[in-house]
Amino acid sequence: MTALDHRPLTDPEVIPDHVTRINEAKTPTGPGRPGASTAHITASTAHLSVEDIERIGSELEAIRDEVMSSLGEADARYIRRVIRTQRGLEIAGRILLLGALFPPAFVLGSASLGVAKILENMEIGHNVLHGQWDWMRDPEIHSTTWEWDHVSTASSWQQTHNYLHHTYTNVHNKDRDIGYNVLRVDPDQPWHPTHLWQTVTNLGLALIFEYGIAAFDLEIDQVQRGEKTWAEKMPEIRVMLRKAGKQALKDYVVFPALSGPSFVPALVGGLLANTIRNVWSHAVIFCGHFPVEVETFDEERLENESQAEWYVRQMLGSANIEGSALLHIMTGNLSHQIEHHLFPDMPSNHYAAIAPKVRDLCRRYGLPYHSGPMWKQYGGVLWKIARLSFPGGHETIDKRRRRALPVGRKAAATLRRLRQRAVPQAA
Amino acid sequence: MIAGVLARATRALTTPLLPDDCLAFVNPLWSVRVPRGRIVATRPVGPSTTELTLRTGAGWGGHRPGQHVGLGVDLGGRRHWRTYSITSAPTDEHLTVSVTAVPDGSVSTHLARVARPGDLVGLGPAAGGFTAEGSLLMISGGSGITPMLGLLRGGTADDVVLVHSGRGAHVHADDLAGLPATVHRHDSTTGHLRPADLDALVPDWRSRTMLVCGPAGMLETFTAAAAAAGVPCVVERFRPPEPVAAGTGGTVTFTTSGVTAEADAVTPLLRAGEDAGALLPSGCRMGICHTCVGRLTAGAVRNLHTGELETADDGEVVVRTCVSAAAGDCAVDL
Repeated sequence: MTALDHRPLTDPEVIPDHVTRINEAKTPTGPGRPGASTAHITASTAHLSVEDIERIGSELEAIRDEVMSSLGEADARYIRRVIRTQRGLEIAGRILLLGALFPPAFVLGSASLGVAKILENMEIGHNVLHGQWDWMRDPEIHSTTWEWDHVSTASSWQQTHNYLHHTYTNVHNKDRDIGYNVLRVDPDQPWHPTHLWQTVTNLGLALIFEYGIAAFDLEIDQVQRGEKTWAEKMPEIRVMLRKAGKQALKDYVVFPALSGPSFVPALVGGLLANTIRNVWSHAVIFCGHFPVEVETFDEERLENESQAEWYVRQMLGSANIEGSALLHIMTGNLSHQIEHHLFPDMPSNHYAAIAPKVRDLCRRYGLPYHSGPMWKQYGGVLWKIARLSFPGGHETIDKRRRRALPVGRKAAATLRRLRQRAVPQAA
Repeated sequence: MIAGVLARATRALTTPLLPDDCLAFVNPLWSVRVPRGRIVATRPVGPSTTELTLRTGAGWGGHRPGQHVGLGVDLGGRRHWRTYSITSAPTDEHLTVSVTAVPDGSVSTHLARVARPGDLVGLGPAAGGFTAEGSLLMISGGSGITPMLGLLRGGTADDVVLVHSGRGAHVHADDLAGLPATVHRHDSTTGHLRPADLDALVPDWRSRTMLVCGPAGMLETFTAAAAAAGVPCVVERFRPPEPVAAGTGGTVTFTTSGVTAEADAVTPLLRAGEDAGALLPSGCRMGICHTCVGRLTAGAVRNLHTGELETADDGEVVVRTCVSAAAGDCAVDL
């Protein structure tokens, strides 16, 4: 019995018209057509034929269509309820911090504000900016009008996150999210002496994560590589500084000033709330792509990559966090990172329901489905960052990746590895 | 100046939201940015027509007699917009519109039969220039009476003759008596109102400016008659939904770039536009990043993912140009 049994599945043998259309619009040559690339073949997909991959693609499209055609009243109520809850928590937090001299008010106020900021950034901001709620056509909950409680501006985030990260997920030299230019999170990244203390760098990054993201979204590395001049970057930097200034003014000056004698504790409360949000979002985001087993890809893979191959790359390059409904909401449903990467514009409240179907699909096609409790995922991330602060690491990481393959496939992968080792490195 | 400082201070408190968002959070009617109205009363004014009385929110910018307004309704979680003539005078406390439930019309059926006092609706800006001066002859058919009510109640002209045609029970029948106009009723059960009927009903009709609103056939007949008699004539057309040709492309106009492109039914608008030389925003080119979105201002597009049609008539429709293809002629504000 599979999770897909209860509904008539469109015949997976037949690739629906619109999939072919999208494929052709995107990749004029496409898989199986003359000139198609073989770069999609990695250790975990070597057993799949081009047809298998296309079938995976059409099954995923069927899952997507089922959800997207079901969207309605209940979903609209869901996001409005989350927004109401978030605003309620924020107001409560601000009011409590007005009396921050009184310790219980300080603790409750900071916590409430911290939770509000997490909800605002993750379940609301991130997902609205992805256009998950654009289908409602509500100008107040729309990716083109939303601005979030974060120092990075919405439009700048949409460029680096929605476009670069989501299109080129885990592709070296394309997805800048691999290590955010400061960390070595994959053995294929060249080692540099500064990586020696990257465990500490990472801790520091967690504390100031929103500023890290804002600096990262500015793509200053374009200037270092000579692709852009400082003069060209200045307008963007100015917009970002203005936003950061407004955020700081609100949290660290205006609200503390309103608290009168509680100025200092209110300021500390605001700082604490922002830090709670930073550390949490850092942890969630790192658990999404940096756990040990998650794969990264070479740039050649992008050549003629079809929609179905793109889907497979998204699944191999993401990892889920298992936990309670509360955990899922507090992560903005990024605990369903795999489902989010497959369908970034699907309303997040549906990820939990499709996750078993995607997991079952992976099982049937012998693909790994990276998922684990938070302690395991985050522990793996921290271990990997520690290991990769030293040169090398290919062997260890590859071993962990092989171990994540479904049983049976492990044996095949080991065999292949031994065979490759037996052949001298002539080619 | 004090107001300015106060506004700046409030913005500093609410950033990144606007103070307006917070006001709307407390009471949706207080929003200036997103105008809304609340239904305060409903009244049946015909067999399938309901008059809605709306209290307008802070964002409502007023109207001129004869204008129409877009009403936004959330159905199945999606906002749909439809346009209705305003029947109240600009000076009235409340705004009134009359909605006739159209067969298969989900929005009109909802507004006419389901909507209750207390419900919120979105309000578009008032628009339209249906008006005239001097001696007037108003000719209306069915729910075409609504802009005439708006004009008459708004006191646009002193010397008005209204010829209203309808089948059986007239829409707004009870309201016709109190209007500042000479009213002639015509029952179309036995046949349509014809221009030839005017000579008997309104002997001096050739010296009046004609205002017509009603079914398409009526508009056609009377504009032709007015043209033949050399009488100035203004019409108000209740725009029917544009027929969408299935499986055909069309001409795509990118209004900001000023570029037009021919596109077939399977080519994404983005590619058609770029091929025609338009500089368009783009990102993933596969419908996930929403970098390429533009507002559909006319016509319809088909979503290549879902096969779903999206038409500009639905109001604020934002489309992803990379996964939308033309379904007939259309325009995008990019």
